[in-house]
Amino acid sequence: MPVPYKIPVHVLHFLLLLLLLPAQASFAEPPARVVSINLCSDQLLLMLARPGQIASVSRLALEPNSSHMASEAGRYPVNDAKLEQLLLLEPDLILAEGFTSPSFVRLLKHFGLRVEIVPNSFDLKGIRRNIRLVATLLSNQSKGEALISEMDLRIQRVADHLPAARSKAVFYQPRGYTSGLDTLQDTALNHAGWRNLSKELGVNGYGNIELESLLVAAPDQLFSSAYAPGTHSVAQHRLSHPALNRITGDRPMIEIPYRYWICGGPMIADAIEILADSHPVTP
Amino acid sequence: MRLVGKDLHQHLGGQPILKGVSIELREGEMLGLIGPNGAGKTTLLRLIAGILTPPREKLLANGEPLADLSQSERGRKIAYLTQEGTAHWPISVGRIVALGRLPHLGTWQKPGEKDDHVIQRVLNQTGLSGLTDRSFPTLSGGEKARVLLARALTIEPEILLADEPVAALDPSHQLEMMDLLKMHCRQGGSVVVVLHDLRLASHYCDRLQLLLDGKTLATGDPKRVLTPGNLEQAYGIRIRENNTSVAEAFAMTWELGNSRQPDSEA
Amino acid sequence: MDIRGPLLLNLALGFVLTGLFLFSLFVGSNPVPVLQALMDSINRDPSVISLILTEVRLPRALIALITGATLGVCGAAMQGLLRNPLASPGLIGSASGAALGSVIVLYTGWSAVFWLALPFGGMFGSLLATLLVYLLAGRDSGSTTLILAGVAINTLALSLISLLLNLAPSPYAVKEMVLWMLGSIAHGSMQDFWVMLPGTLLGWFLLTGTGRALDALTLGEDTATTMGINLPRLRWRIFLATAFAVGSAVSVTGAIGFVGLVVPHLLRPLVGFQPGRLLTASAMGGAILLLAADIAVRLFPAGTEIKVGVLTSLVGAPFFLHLILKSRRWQP
Repeated sequence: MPVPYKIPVHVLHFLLLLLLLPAQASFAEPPARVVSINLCSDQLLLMLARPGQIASVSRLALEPNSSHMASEAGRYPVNDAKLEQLLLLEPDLILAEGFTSPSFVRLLKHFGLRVEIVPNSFDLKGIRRNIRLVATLLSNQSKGEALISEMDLRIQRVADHLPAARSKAVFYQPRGYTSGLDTLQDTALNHAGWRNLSKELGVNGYGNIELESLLVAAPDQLFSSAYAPGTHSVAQHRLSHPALNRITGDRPMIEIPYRYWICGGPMIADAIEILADSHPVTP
Repeated sequence: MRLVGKDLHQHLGGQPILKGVSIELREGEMLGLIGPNGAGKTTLLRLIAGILTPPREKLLANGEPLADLSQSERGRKIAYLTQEGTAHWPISVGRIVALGRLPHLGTWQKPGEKDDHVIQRVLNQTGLSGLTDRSFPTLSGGEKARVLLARALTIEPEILLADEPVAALDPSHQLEMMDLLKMHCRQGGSVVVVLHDLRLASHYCDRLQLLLDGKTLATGDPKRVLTPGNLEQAYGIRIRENNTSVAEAFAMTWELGNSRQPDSEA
Repeated sequence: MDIRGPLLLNLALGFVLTGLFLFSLFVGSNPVPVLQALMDSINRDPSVISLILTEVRLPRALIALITGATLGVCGAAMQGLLRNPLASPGLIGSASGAALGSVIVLYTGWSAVFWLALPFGGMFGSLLATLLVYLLAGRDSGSTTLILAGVAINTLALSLISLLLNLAPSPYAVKEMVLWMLGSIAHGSMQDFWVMLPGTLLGWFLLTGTGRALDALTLGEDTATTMGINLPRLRWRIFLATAFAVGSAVSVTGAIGFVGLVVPHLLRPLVGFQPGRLLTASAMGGAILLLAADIAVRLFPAGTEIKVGVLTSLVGAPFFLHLILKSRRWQP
């Protein structure tokens, strides 16, 4: 009759470690094939990736009008966020954003793929959080911190040279859409020394302001970022309403490229610098 | 206005309709155009009315080509009553009759005293004075025909062209219409009227012109035109033996009664 | 002959029109003291309220007036010419043809290069569509044929507009389908007004004096010809006039429906059914209708931007049904 013997505890621990080691090893190493399926996660991936880490970015990243990192994106294979494509790419990490359909995310996970969501951001706090999140996921935290410090430095430099009084500004888009509270435009205006009239008129997020109400609010400067410059439509034509010119004392509407406003990222510093430069020069 | 048409030809839709018809119309004369369907009577009227244009030298008015008249001048001298006359909008009788003065008025001219005078005179003559406010669609067939004729008379034309003006009318209204056309002749104008009713034609017309297959078969005094031979050839009909003469065959054997004299209300 | 009739009517219409025009200057989301604004506007440095008056409300009222008048008078002229109470710029394709022409010119950017390109596009499209409907329906067409021809051309124009908007380079294009098919007077500027003005004035000018010929046409084409009316010239004149005026107006406002149908019909009994007298009255009536609709749109609660064409359609559609039923009564 075999005598039952107790397995020594330290042996058990050793055996347990052996079992867990492979799993730990996969978390310890940085992901080697990262795929991003949305424009905003594309941006951060392109900025923070180690060499060779990027397996694919979404097709939208190639568009110079909407993608800040468009020229970089051209170096990588492109995906259309289709299931078959993603499976074939054999990614060990998929980056999606807040707007990605939850059912699609569930589907990807069902196939055993690792999906991490980069939430939407509309202020500096959110931008910093996202940079840190992606940097950690890519095991490139130092790069992330560098980006943040550079961004903060530039924004601080702008803040040091702002005029004493804040002039009134509004972002006016085709169809009368304006950017109110909790938008990237609002953050940028704020840090560039402008008052956001849209927020003051009570617009939350992106909302419509009627032309007459806008005129009554009497902005000093109008900004716009019409998508697809050089194209024509009734909505775009209405941006050139003469009343808009005259209300700002014949100061023309200033176009700020659209790509600064779709995704929150360190490029907001660029936008803040442009907005700060747009202050009327005091003699 | 003396009208002379020589050897008139006309094609419609590729088919020859008139194959050499001559016509003559003197002042104060009522000429009846008769003949079977498709003989070219309406086409001939439309030639004179100016809706179709013949070669200049073939249709002369007072010796000069009719085509030399401007369209508006022609509109003042020649009035045309179409076969199925109608008014496309429910206008009042008074306004329709007043439209007859249109050829005499410039683009912006409003009817003047003379025009009102003519309109009133015609309304009286046609017995329509009491109907001026009635809307056209509400009228009876006879009244409608009278209104459209009144419109034509208001033009004070030299020539009145009437295409089957009595086709759908009852006997008394037929007589009324023909009396009015005769009145126009008595006042110095001339009339060319297309008729199917041979009795009316022979009774009222000074001359008849019988058209067959785009050519004139006979023209002249009604008695001379309405011969059994012509009738057989043109219409394919024969006078029965009990009627002894052509004159008796086409005599008007009735007239308007007292209650239906032109000036009284129906 | 009752001369007083149209004069009284026209005076009354003129009075209402002036009143509505002035009233529309007072209507808006913000209270604007109009007299004060008027006085400010002649200063070199205009105040905000004067800016609102002269650059927002005034052009809007003017555009409504010109467009409404155009639709009214062209509707009346077309109905007189075709002797059909259902002929209106909307039904016989003039409006949708104009929209198509304008869409082609605007979304390709030609109108940005040369400002006259936009109304030209509208005029050309309008003329083409109207001629096509006329050729399809024939000269003495009854209502059914005319409507069918109009439906055919309208559908064709609409689908082409939809296709072009989908293919247009601008991403905003697709959503603007509604603008072209329902029409809108909102956001018009004085520039837009000047763009539409030459063509509409030319069209109105061509229509003046056609009243006499339209009266004669009441008795039919043959009779009118014998009364001295040159029919082919009249037809061309009215087609061109409609193309110029409706084409220019629609190129700025989009195709606003039913004004050209409803207004002549309502006013016809008041002018004794005479087509000639209907022209001026319909012009003013159309302007009144559109001004009123635009004022109503502006009185809706803020945030809901209802297009003015929605209102005219809400009024026009049941009216159209009533018209069809009633037209059986006296249509020959």
